[in-house]
Amino acid sequence: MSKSTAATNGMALWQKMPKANAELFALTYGTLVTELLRDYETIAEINEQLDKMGYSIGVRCVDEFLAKADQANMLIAKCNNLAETAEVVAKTGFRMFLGIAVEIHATSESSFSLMMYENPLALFVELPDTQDKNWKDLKYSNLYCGILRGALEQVNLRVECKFVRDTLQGDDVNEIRVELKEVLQEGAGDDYQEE
Amino acid sequence: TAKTYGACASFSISLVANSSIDSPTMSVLSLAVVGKNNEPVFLKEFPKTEGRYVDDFAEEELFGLSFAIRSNEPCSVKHQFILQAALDRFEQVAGPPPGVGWRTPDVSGVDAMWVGMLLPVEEMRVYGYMSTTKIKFLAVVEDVIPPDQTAQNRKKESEIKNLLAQIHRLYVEYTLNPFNQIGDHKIVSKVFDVGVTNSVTEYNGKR
Repeated sequence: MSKSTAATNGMALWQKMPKANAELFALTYGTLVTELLRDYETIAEINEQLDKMGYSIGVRCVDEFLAKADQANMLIAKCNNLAETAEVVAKTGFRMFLGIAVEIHATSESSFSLMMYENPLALFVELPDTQDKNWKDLKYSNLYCGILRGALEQVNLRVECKFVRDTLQGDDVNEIRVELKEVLQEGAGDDYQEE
Repeated sequence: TAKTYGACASFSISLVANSSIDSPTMSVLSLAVVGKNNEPVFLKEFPKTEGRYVDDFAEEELFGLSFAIRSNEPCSVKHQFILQAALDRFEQVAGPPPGVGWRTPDVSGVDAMWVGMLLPVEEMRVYGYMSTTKIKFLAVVEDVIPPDQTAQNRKKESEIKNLLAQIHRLYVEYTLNPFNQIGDHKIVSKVFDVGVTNSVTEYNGKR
């Protein structure tokens, strides 16, 4: 799948998707994170919870993505290598669901980096400066990592994602590092292990 | 020709006299955001360092009024006194009945929230602005326009109104941060602080 096709597909799908108010979206996510802060003791637990939530979203997102693309008569060709997968995820996937442009950097055989210049989840957010918690460790947008993990697992790629740079922590860009751990053969989940 | 000369002379004299008042230094000296239960939420002073008379300095040093209560507080005691006094007047004007209604009928938006001058103090005046959720914004402004210059006064008031509307917008953005407590907590936010300082510096810079 060529680069421009992925991008054009993404734009076209974005046009067809129903839209929601960006502020409402960001505020909802914000209250979710603050609730988690009240429920869990450590920042690490919160990051993990966000990842789990993202996972269950990602598992559902990928089906929607493929279904919508089918309806729009777009051919999402089978990706032959990780670089093509990265293209589709960044240019088509992120564009379709969030309307943002995501760039791919540092691709290799088994990993790639996604660079996001704008983050709709973190609109108006400023991390506090207090000493009671280790705010530097909070991965506010860890939901994305879970979504990527869940979605790619549905297409037989087991990956690990993590945020390496975050604009909320002072960096100039958001960077998610995705590493391919394993290509799953059967595509079956844990439930089917015994068989 | 003598008459016209005379007229020109007086005209030029008045020009010279006006030019010193034409660009008066009406800088904002301090700003306060007060919550609906009159708790201070944000206080900041913008001290002027040039153009102050030696006498002013001496008097303030005498009572230690120019110093902040603690070294890390951004507003001196003197300005806190002024702001408290203005708050009382605010209560009078905008509070529950028999509060004197200040709102001119049929206005909306920024005009509806603008309360106007609250009180004059020494060479300063305090202006107020109250949002619909009873969040009050006060600005202490240096006052060098003589009261008979109504056009300039009105222009100054509308500029201050715009400044306070801008601070209101910054406050709204502050409340949208999910980590920030609203209510009787002091505002601790770099983004808000920087935004306020920039707005005031821009306003002061235009003088």
